[in-house]
Amino acid sequence: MGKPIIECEHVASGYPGNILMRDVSFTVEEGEIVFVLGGSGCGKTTLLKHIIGQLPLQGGRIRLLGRDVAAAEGAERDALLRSFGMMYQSGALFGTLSVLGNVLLPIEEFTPYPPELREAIARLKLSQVGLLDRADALPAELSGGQVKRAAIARAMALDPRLLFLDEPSAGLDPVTSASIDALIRTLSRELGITVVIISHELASINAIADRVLYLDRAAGGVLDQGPPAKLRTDSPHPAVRAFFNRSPNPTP
Amino acid sequence: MAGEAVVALPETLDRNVVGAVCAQGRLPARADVSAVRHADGAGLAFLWLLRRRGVLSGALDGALAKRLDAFEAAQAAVPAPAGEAAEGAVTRLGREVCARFGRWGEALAYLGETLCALPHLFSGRFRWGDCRLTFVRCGVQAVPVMLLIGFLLGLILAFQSAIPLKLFGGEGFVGGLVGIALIRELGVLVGAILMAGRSGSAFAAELGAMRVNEEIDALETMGLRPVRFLVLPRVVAGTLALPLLSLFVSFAGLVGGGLVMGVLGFSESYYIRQLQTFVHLNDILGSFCKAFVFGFAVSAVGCWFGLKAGRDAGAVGTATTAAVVTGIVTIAVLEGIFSVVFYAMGW
Repeated sequence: MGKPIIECEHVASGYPGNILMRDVSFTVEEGEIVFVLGGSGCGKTTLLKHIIGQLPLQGGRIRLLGRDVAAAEGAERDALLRSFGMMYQSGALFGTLSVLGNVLLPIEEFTPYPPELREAIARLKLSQVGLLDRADALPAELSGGQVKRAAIARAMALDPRLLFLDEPSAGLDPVTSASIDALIRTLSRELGITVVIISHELASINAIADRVLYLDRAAGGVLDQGPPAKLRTDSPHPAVRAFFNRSPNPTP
Repeated sequence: MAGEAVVALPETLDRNVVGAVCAQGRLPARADVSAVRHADGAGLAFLWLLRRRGVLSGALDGALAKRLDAFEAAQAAVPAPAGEAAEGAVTRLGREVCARFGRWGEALAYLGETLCALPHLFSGRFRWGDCRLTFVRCGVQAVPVMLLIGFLLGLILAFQSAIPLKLFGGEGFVGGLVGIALIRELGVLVGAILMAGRSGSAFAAELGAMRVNEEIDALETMGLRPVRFLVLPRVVAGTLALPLLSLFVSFAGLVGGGLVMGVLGFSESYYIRQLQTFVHLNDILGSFCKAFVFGFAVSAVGCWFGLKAGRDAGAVGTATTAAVVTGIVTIAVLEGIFSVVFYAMGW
């Protein structure tokens, strides 16, 4: 593993007057595939929004690719935003653009490539997520799973060093889900891309996670972390073991 | 030729390398790929494009070639778009006419359903809470803007009419002119137009967003009629709000007109006498009739476009625009009908 690419130091996560977690500290190293887990409503997506600079921190510090997210302004902030890809839980595709247009948008805006190369890149991304045949469709014409896949393709459009995926497998059939897992694994292993995923899909976690961060609101931060196989059996926290063993009643 | 030079690509072909090679916005004339072992998305697409043009030199890494083949196969597997069958002009005309009649039919059915839903007001299950909330939003909260516009309208009307009337020594009739114009026509008309822009658009946007979020589908699945559940409270609130709002517009306009009369040197009592002389009970009753109908029309049109909105984000904007434009056109058409009817009645 390489150098730290995300550093969260004593982060207070949440909104003014509604702190979800008081002290979140962890590091993600370059090339890792890290899953962020935790009970519903514990603040996983909120933490992700803090990391990408979309939501102001309530305390602590986050360094992304070596730069302080909260302190970055102007051109530095723009460069920081372009250095990672983000897939939102809902897909967040632009409704007036076709699927191809959605993937092309960042490529057209931020690269000096000739037009035929831009389109080839966009089509390659769509073929990687198995959506090439729907390139000309509008987002409203896609199924839920197709929206997810198009959103992943858009997040990968600029070949970012860091990829954030919020629930990428939710709503997908097992075969597509497995192909997305394989794609993430390929991106990480071949290109050294760091991937941070919010997901509860145990099959995906077991298949591709290098490390898991288990957030807990009562603990106020990261309850436990490590490779999934280790946490399943060796975690000192019943809630973590229960999660990996799909057990309804955590036993001490 | 410089353009024919072979570009030797490095072991890792990533977006930065591709960006540097294509800095001039052109692909290289020839590229040596024998050293390339890794490629990101931009690199892979770059190799694919060069290979398709037949400008690669050197042996391509086996794994990369396999990935390019997979992309090629995926492209080939995309079915060609089915060409639309040629359609004659008559068929196209017929289709357009049928579609237009179909839309009118749907609108008529909607109007009928809305009117038939009115007895639900007395069923004990009508959602008066929703109706009250809508009344506050489209009625009470609109009072300040109605007062402002009405006042300015009266002021401008009085000033502008005073100029030609003064030429004939008739500036004393400005009060009567302002009174008739505001009470009979402008108070209701301006109130209705403002309501179309303010509340008709809001109804279309609310219901359009509900359509996008599948909330209306959920209502229908539960067996609830959207017209009864969503449209009726808004239509009732709009129908009750507009007569009151038009009253505010007219009142503020009369105050504005009175101010101008004062500036022209006429007393309050003279102005009030003028109004009593020129404005009759029929004018006020007619104005109220129109306000009820306009309020119903503007609200119903707004809700109609909201219910008929598409499912993408742009559809809400389209529905909102259509609601405002159609609302104003509907008001103009109804105004024309009322003018003819009132003339025939001698009002």
